[in-house]
Amino acid sequence: MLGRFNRGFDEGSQKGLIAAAYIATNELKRRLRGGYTSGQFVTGNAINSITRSEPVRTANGWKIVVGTNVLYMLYWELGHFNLFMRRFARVEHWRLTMIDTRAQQQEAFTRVFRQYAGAPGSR
Amino acid sequence: MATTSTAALIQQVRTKLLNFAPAGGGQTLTTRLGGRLYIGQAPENPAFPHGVMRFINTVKGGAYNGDRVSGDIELMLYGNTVAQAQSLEDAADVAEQALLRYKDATGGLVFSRESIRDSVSPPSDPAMAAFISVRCLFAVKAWPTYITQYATT
Repeated sequence: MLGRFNRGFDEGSQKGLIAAAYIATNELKRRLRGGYTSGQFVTGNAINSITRSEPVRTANGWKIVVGTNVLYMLYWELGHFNLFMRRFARVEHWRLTMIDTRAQQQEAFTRVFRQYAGAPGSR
Repeated sequence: MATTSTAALIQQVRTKLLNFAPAGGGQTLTTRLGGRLYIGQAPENPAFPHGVMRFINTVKGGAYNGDRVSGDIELMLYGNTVAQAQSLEDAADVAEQALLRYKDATGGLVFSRESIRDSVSPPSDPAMAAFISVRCLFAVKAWPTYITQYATT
């Protein structure tokens, strides 16, 4: 009985995190379609680089990471001196997207978790 | 501590950061940054190094009827040469010393006991100048008087 619960919990946690992560990556891609200050500074490569990790088990529970390997997105997020514009530039998309989609992420996680964890009314 | 407004709260934290004297006679942030610790954003063409601080990610949860503000003081330290990397790290050390034992209950309660910190290496992208930064986030809890004055219980 406990083993079945654990399997359901683990599977539900992983699938729930993936669902929540897609909420964040989809919204990030949507916001970045318009670029930072103009479309010049965001390429398809940058948008396509926004991705998620696989869920991993940590000492504090299951965890998933949303990120990119395109470094200049980090510099836009945290600030840099832009040589083309000849001025300091900082445009936050990542932090605000995570905050703005928090409720949607929670909802997506809960909906998927319940399906796999065997809660009443689930599949 | 003036917590009569968010701006006053940030200003008080700024004062604490700038004036904190490290044990053993180390330099204050006023000296290290030349007093260039800006709130919100830096002015046009600022000298380096400099810092920019904001109060972000604030949440007023229902568990405290919205009286308790939970948020982050973000301190960005910027330099424009790789040679400034060490001094930026040292400045971040002083900031951590100043705020990780920070509490003030003289006019609304404010305290911090937790932070995360990251150093951002210079961009290799040709569109970006040699630009280095250290980011410190201090988790802050506050009961500001501009909110709590309306508490009835």
